Amino acid sequence: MRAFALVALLSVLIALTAAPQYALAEESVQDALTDEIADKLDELDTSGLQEWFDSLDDDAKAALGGDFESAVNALLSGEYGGGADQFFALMLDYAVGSVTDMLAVCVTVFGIAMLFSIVSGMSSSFLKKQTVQLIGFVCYGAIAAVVLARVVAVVEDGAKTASSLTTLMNASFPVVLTLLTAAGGAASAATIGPMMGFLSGGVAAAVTEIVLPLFAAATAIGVVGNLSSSVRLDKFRSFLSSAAKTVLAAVFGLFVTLLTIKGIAGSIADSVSLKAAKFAVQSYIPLLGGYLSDGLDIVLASVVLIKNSAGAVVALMAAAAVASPVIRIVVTSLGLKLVAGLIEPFSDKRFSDMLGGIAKNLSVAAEALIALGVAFVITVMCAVVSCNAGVI
Amino acid sequence: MSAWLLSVVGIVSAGVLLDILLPDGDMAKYAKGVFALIVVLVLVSPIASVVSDGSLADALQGATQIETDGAFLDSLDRDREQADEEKVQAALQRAGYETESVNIFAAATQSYSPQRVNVKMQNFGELTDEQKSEIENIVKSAVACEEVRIYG
Repeated sequence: MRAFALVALLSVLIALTAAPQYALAEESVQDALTDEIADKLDELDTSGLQEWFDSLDDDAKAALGGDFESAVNALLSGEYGGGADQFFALMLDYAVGSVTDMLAVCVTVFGIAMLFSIVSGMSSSFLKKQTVQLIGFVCYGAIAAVVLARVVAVVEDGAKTASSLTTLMNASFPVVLTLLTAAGGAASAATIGPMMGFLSGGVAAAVTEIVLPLFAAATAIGVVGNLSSSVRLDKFRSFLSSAAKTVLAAVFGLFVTLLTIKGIAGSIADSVSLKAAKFAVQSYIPLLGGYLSDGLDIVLASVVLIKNSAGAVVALMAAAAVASPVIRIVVTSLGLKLVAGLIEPFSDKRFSDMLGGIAKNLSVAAEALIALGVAFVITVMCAVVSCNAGVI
Repeated sequence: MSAWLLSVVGIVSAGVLLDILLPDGDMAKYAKGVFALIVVLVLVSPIASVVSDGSLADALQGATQIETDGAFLDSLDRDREQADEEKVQAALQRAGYETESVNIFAAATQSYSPQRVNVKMQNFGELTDEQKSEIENIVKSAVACEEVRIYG
């Protein structure tokens, strides 16, 4: 009995003296990982991403974390929680700004429509029918000029965003692909790499060279088509709008399907080769502050963590880029629908038909930008979820 | 595109003005008919040039070449080689074997893949075949490689 008690006491003492060593070992692993991550981030060429980051306005920069490396470090250390509130506040600012701008347009259009309604009401008294028609032509032209100025500004914003997204793709894809390759994802990189090239080349070109011009043409045809009942261009406008939507659906549907298939195939190939290597070595890669073991591959762990954090920051940057023009387009569309509804009871049918047609067409531009942003984020996320050897 | 849009807008606006200004009658009907034909011709005019001009197809087929950061990958491979060499030395030391040097040779591919490990032992001449076999197993457990060369 005494011997048993002595053995038990000795066992407890050994455990107590060993525990601090394990805690110390875990702490040294965490420090080594932190140092390795800092070294790797310094070596990685992220100048293109930082340049793109610098092109954002101050509010967007603050919402995303100040600069690219700070954002990645904040995400790695788990201190990125404040970004969500700032992001939401930024979106709200964009929405409020767009509503304020659109209000002026709505009031002007409403005023012109009201004026024409009063003038046409006087036609039976002393104005000739042709004079009223001419006044109607002029008022229509004035409304079209005011609305198109706003639509052109919004669409130019959208086109600039599409171009800016292409620049972000060209800056971020090499970094993400490098980190994916470095993390052991050679097969994934070989399949995702060409898809990235196709997205930044062919798909972005389809949006800027086909979809947005078709949308612009459909809008312009819609405006002139409502000018007079003798000018019937509604079916042609509908064709242009449908052509834009068809091209958008075809290009992005094909892209996402191919990416999913190739991404899964590449990921499977990589996981097989990684498992063969890792089971031979019997090492594990811990979470930050997690469990540890022998033969820890700190270098690989740091690369995987940087890959995932950088990918997440790039996805947020893409979302921030797309959010502003999409919000402006949506607010413009809603504003036009509102004013079309308000003037419909008392004004000429042509005015409300024109406004309604433009508002409907604007959805094509919004869809194009959203599709480009979503395809970008999906592509980056494919790289992020691939080759996370041992990291949960 | 902008030139085409301006021509469409111009023709339609001119047609509408004509419709307003011309008095009702046969002449107005013919004028409207002619303007309708002109509008159709203006609308279809760019289609032929888009089809015959290959620039749009080229733009769609274009794909940017995405290149990886070779310098970063090389530096990473060197870091991993160094880490693996230290790992092998530590594993052999724990098993009671003293090494002079450990060199890892990786495949010339984009992802790090050790092919051969050269281990220079301090007391190579005194090692038995069993010990050499044990050293080889220790090295292969520490680093997933195809070949281990033990020399003195």
